[in-house]
Amino acid sequence: MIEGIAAEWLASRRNELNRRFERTRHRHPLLSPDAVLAALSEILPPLAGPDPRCGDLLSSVYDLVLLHAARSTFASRPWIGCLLKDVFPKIRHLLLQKPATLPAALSNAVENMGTRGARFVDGLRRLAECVDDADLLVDAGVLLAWRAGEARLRRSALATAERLPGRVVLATLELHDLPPAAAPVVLDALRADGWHEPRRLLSDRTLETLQQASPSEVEALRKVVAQVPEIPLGQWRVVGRVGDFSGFGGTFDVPPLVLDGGDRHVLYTRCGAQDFRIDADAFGWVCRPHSRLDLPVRSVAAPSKFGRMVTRLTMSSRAAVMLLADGTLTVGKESARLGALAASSSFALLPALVAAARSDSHRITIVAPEREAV
Amino acid sequence: MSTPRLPRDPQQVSVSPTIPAAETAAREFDVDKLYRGPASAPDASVAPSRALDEKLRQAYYWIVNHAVITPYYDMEFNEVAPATFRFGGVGTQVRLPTAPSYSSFVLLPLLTFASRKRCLFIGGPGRGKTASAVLMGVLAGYSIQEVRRAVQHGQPQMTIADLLGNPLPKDLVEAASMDDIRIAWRKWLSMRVKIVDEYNRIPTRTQSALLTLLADGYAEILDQTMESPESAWFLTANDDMGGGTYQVIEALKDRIDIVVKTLNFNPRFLSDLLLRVEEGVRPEEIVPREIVFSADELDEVYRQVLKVPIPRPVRRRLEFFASQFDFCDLASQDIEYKTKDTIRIAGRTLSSVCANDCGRDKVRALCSQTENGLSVRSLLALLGFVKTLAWFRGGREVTLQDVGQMAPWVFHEKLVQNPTSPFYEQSGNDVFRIDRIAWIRKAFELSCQEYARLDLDRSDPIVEIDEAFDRGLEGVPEEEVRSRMNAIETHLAQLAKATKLYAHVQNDVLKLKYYHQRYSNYLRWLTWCG
Repeated sequence: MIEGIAAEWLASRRNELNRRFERTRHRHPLLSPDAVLAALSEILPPLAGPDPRCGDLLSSVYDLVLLHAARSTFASRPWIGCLLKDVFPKIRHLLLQKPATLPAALSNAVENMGTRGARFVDGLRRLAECVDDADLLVDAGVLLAWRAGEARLRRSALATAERLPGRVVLATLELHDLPPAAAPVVLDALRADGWHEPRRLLSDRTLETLQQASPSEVEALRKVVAQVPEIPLGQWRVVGRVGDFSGFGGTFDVPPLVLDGGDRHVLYTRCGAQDFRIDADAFGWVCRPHSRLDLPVRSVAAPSKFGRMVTRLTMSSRAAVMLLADGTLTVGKESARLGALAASSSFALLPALVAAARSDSHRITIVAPEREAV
Repeated sequence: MSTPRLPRDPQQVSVSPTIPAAETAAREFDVDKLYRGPASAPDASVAPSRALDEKLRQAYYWIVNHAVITPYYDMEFNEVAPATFRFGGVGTQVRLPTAPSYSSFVLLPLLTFASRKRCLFIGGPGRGKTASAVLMGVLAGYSIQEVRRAVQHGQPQMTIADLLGNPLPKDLVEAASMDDIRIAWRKWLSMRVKIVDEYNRIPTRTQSALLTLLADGYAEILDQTMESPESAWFLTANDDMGGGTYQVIEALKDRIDIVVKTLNFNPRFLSDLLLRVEEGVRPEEIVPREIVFSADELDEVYRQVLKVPIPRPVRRRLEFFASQFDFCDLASQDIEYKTKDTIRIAGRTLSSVCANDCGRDKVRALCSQTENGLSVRSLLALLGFVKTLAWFRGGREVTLQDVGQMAPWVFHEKLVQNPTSPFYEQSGNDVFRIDRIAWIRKAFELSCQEYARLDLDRSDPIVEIDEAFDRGLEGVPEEEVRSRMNAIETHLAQLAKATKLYAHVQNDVLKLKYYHQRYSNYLRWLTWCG
């Protein structure tokens, strides 16, 4: 039973709202009036209030309820319900700034995030306390989506983050316990190397120093973290595994091959006749079909029975980079055996990163320098 | 960002990309997509910079989903061979297209809109001809009131002043010369979408004024002229015979680039009609603003369309097809005049000339099927439309399918059938006398088969001569010119020996003769220079 302002609003627009319901049911005959009423009774009252734009907000949320009830999204994506029931009341002040558009946009964003939507909703809940402007919330949403694993947004998110207050940046990156001064340092570090969790980039001592650091000290720190340190091959470690078997929600029907191209956060692979682009970093990965690429496949060489030295001597001048089946990686004059790369079928050497695929796995192993906290 | 939308909301625009394959191949991931989805329609604050072809596709899907109930996919496109089903009776074959296919009644006006051409809707009353034309006006950014006011309704009393404007009465009285008379031009003349309803009810004299405007882009009253911007024209007529109250003048008919037929209503879609009645929705009044084009966007669309290339294999097939219709070996002794124009100017018909034997199989030879050939104007129209269709479909260049689907619509009112051609007397071909779209589609198919049989993609000797000539004559030494002329003569001798003078051979021979003349003139000049 809905009471109060929400009930008055429903009563004042009864005929029009009923028509909207009927129009939806015309297309979705299974739309249950009871389900819609139940959802409305939970969702509308916390959003109602004396504010002048409250009617617009209730109207757009009413349409959202119809939309999701008609498409059974409340059941198939429970986090949509969380968004409307838990988060919307918390960010009501922001929704009232753009009542006609913001609720729909956030609902779309959560849907577009797929299974990562739940994490996106959690992020919105966190942001409710530190954001007081609707446009800021929209911008921070890009960062949130990236943090939730939408790796394609990495570049846009980093660009957007420049415009956001430090506390908002840290809240979206789940680093709300760090001092605001750490935000630009974290962003610089992530820009240079997205393969390490930002929390592990700065030591406790650095964080303490940052509390009272002068601008010049912060600037100096930013310069340090903005570079990927040169670390011997022997200290490279597995920093991630991306891609998956289509049967487990991934994209690959058969184990893929890694194509030799891309950059530290964009890989290209081939599975059967189809090429794929994988955007990936420490926050997650997204794999999408790509038009056919003219990139070579670096195959893995068998080790010479006469030993590694002979194998190196027989390398062609072109192959300044070589990976042996036993996991021995040679880059120029440096060589090290990395167990994680053993039995690889193809690999790509990218700036300070090796991506390798195996013939018995649908996942691609990412090996990169192990960074220590600054 | 966006206002929330109900499922099948009449203002719902299809989610982008409408052609996913084209999107993945051509465009990068767009951050704005994060906030777009089923509950949204774009808002200026976060609207992504959609490609204009995508916008036009969204307009198409909005029209077919919400505005015009036309559940037909008669412009079929396939990526792989479609599944087909043959029905009893006369053996109708139904194909299930494997690539996005379209309804001609909606697509063709949209292509006209994008390429600034002239489209005639024909069909019975109440089939949506005027409504579709009005929609095009709204898509061009005009309000529904502006568009309705701008529609020119043909009627027997329509004067030139009704159509174009009036001289100011004060000036008529006081003017010392014609130059002093100012004209109050009608507003529709300056619009980018022009609609003339029931043009076959306009008196002949007024039709002439309309012709000047439509063909030359200006209006004239009392020695005063007004330039009209390049625009898309939509004319309607209740039948396709040019009947109506007045006979439509030939020149006006000839200026129409494409004729779109209205399709009948499929009663299986009565529920959609019912919904329209119950909700009292008038589509032209609720066109979503995200599919409305600004003047700058329309200019940009036109620029992009013109840039779409027609690759040589496609262009060659089109040349081969177009060459078939104008040729008649019996029309003259000179190769230049072996055309149906010669017959027409002599006051004869092809059927009377074609009755004589010319040594060709008149069932297979396409030249026997028509009384006339293709005009330059209709070929220009086709080139414009195939580029627009390829652009609309998200293609980077024109494909053979684009030409195959577009040619029937551009030519079916331009080519006049020769009723006595033995082709139509073949089993199953009688229907082509009635269904001219299918006829031209079939003719194009046969032409392409013949082109493939002759293996002209690989064995077209004109290519080398073309390429050599395209490099220019400057600095080409005398020996080289003589060698090229010799090659032309050798090739002509081979052609004369190997084949009859078929339509495409006539085109080749004329081109070889052209090159030979250019080279011989150049050679004469070289010799004179010493």
